[in-house]
Amino acid sequence: MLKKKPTPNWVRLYLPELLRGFYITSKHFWINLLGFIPGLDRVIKKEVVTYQWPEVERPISDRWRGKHRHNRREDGSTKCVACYCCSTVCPAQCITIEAGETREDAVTEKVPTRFDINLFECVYCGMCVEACPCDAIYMDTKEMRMCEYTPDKFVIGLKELLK
Amino acid sequence: MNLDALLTLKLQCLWALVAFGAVSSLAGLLTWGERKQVSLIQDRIGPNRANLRFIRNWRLFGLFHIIADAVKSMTKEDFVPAGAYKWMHLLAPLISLGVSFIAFAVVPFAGPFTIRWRDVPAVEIPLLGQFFPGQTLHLSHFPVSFQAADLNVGILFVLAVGAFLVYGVLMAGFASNNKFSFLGAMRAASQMFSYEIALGLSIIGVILIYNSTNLSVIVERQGALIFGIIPKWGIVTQPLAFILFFTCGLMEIKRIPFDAPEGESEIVAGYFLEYSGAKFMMFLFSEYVELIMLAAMCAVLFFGGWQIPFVSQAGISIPLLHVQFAWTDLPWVAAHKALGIELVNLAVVLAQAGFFAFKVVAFCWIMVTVRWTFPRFRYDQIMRLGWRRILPLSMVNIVLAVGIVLVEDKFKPVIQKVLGY
Repeated sequence: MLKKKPTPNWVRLYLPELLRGFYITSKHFWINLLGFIPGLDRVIKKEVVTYQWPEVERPISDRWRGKHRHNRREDGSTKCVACYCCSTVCPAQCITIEAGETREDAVTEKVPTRFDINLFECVYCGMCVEACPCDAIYMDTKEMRMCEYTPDKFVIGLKELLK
Repeated sequence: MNLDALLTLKLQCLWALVAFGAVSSLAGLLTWGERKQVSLIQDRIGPNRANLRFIRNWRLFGLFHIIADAVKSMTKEDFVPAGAYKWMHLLAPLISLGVSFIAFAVVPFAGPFTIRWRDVPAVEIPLLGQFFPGQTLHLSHFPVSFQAADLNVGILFVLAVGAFLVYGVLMAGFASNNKFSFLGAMRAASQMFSYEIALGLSIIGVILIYNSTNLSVIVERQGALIFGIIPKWGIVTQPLAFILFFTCGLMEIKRIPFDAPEGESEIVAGYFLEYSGAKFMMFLFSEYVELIMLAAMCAVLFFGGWQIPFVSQAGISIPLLHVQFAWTDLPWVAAHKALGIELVNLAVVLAQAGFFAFKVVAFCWIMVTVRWTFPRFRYDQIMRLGWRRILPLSMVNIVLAVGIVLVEDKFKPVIQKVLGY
């Protein structure tokens, strides 16, 4: 059984604990205030964690999932073979693929003639990347700013993906 | 009315304007300063994005947010809920803001100053002189006091104004036709009434020790020295009273940790829930003015008001260490005689006003830090703290104050003899 310890009397007096809390917050204040003064910032290390976005970019991890892109072959065409794995596995069902027949040089049997991803519907889970057998689709652009004026601009096609 | 009285009246009007301007600009600054301070406490940077479009990236640490906020609130819809008492709804923020400014009338913000120039006959005064034929303006010895109204009942006036603060809150709560607003107003009323008793009792110790209810007299007497070295400030003679007064004051201005009337997590925004735009801004502004009022009262009653330790109009003196320095000893002052003394006195007055402003700002800083440190008390805890802890303690404090007065009367000559000053 858990026995509850009685609160010490000096804690129940309340004022010392208030003063301790006051000390902690004011310490943060003065460290951060003095840390902003040029020259003093070498001595006092400020604890502010704010990034001045968009002027200063926040470092993004390699594992971070952002806007999609397609991998290219050496000749510049997409690696995608329109196998529909990604659109099948996609939980948001935001990938629309239309397959076309053989390429002219016959490297693969199928190519996508249309590969649309709706970035509005995408949940950025990364399952399409896992499912892809040809290493074609990636989400490592580290692009997080996707701003447009109309929803239809958020549907990106092959041209955008191959950029 | 003679010319002297007219000049005094003019000066008082001037000081009223000065106090109003200083307080409202400080309150405006606080709306920005509080957000900036809390962000530093929480390891953030705080508002710094507002800028004037025509000068790029000139942001002044976010000072333009004050203007941005004002413009935003003025251009918002002024919403009056259906079923509200329209006039009371309008009157409540006006009362809150108006009343909170009044108390500054009795706050002395610099030491007494005497103009020693020459008597000016009415003939030499342009415009106004013709109304007072044959009189003279006695500028050869003209005392100036730096406060809008030198009331003998200064402390009682402040308490009375403090009691008036509850009306704006109550009216807002009643007029809004909203149950949350009503709850907030009831909470505010009960807690403000119950703490006013303790607020009044905690000041009695100060009144006893400085033997006056006049704020300027209290401040002047705080310039004395205990044992010839410790300034006789209220915090030295009445430390317990200061803690009680500060706590009750926080309660009176409804600030965290006693902001149950607002209580976001329980009753949305309390009594000003149904206010928007300019009226809401007035409530917010009046809260900051009340904060400055409490800061000023703490400074006046417990931290010597405009007193700078050891420095006076005569010079610097610390009797215990036998330090004695008169301003007339300065070669420049001695060379210029009357004018030199007058300029030095003016400089001292300015320094005192600056020191008083510093104390007020320091207290504002403390109150903002308090707000972002302590959690909110529950309503029953507030009542228990008020009636069962602070009220008895403030009565004990009166007994202590009486003891201090007795000891001081009996032993002051003895102590002076022993310490040898």
